[in-house]
Amino acid sequence: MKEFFDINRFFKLVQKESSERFHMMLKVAAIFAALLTGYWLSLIVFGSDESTAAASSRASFIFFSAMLSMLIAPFNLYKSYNHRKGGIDYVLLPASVTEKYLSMLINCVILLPLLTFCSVLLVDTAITTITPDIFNGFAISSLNLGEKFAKGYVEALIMQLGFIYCNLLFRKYKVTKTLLSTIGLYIFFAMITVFLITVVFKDDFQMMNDMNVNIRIDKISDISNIKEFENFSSLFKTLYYTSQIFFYGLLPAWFIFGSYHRMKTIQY
Amino acid sequence: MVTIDNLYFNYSKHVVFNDVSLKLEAGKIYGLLGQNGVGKTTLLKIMCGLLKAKSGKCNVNGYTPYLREPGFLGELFYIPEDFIGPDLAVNKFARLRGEFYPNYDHNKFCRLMTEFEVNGNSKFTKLSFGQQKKAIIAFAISTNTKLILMDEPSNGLDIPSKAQLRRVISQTSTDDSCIVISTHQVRDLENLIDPIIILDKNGVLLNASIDEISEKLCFEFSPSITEKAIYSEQTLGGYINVCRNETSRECKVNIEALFNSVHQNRELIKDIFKK
Repeated sequence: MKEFFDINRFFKLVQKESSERFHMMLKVAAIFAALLTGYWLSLIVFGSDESTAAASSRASFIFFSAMLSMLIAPFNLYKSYNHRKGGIDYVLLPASVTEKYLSMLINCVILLPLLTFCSVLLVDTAITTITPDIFNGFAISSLNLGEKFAKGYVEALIMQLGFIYCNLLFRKYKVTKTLLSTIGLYIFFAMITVFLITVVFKDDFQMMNDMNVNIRIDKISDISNIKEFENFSSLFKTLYYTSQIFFYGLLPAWFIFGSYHRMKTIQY
Repeated sequence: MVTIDNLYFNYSKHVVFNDVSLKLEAGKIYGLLGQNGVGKTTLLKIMCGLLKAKSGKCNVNGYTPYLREPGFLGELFYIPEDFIGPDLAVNKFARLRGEFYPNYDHNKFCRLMTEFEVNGNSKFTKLSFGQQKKAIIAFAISTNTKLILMDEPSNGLDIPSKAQLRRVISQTSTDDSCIVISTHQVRDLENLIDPIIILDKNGVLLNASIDEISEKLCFEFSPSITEKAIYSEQTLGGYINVCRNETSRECKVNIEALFNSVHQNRELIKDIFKK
């Protein structure tokens, strides 16, 4: 069991990883904070007397920064993991693959986004204190954490698991190949969805033509929120639930298992 | 310590090892010699789990290296030929990584760093190639692992550092540890490595201790080529002749001449050292 996972060794690993990568995390957080500062300076220099930045839009920027830092974390913090020379030192570190993977997740999913979030929020609070006429209201009061998390965090997390997998899979041009793979997969699934909606389930969606309602679908799971969902055919509902299981169950499981397997079997 | 049985390994169509068997024992410093491309680095990587044998067995202290279990990794240290140091101060690197090696001795590391004259407060990225090499060698030795694998450790070291390296390695060797040094620079480590393993593209040509080699072969310097020499090499003032040691007299082993004579007389050498 100790070969698979040891809690003391795991904590040592997390401490070591965070300590070694702290300056990289700080750099990323500083870049996003600098972007906000740059925006503020541009309002001062180029803006008119009425130029202001609403607290809600700045709150969105803070969340966007945290999400983006989370997505780029694997390429930033663990880019040399599968490098034929640079990765040897880490792969031969006496810790299990489980511990290394969990430590990677902690740094990529929690520490870096949290550091970015806090840094940008801190800078926003400081700027708002200095120039309340330009930055209207504190972003911290517009965060609506529960709502924001519920809306996009799960999808961002699944995407990040995919990015971690791609970071381990590709040795060269990681970011380019990952983005191309993501776009390719998105186009593929979008084409299937369009085909299903316009051809296979044409009749199901035809009945919505006469409805006087606004339907907003940001993601697949929103389909079940449509009032008329119960009237859709059972085949449609089966496919819908299958797609839910695929995107929220099988896909992340594939990424997690794939990453673990890659870390376990990679050769140098 | 290390048992390799019927090892087969290839890179695509290039076969590196075909039915290679080898045994390495504790308490020795092995010199791994061979021409460029015969598989010295590949063998070291198979022993430390960075590569997987396509068939055959490799066993290190009861572990299968490729599984890279923490227990196995904690008893081994591999120093690659091109070590890429992280953007971290050397002392911090050592302190953070040393936690994972049960027998790590930080005081020993500091002493070795002083002996090698490398500033532990500098980041790896600010040190020269040779200084980085010395730092990682100091760390490797301080882990007190049972198996240390070094790939060309004297590459990039200046003359005084090579002498320091020889001294440090000889002090490191204990009865339950094993050091394997892959090298081309045999003169740097001549009095250190024993036994000697010579590889070629067909496998292991020679695996013998210095005593066994000097019992069976004689290395003489003479003004001309000896008639019975199995290999001769011109040098300043004469020739180094390698002959069978028919009179069982003691003679110093010239590793470079040994290497060349082994490669030029493969079958004869195998026959002489057949066990």
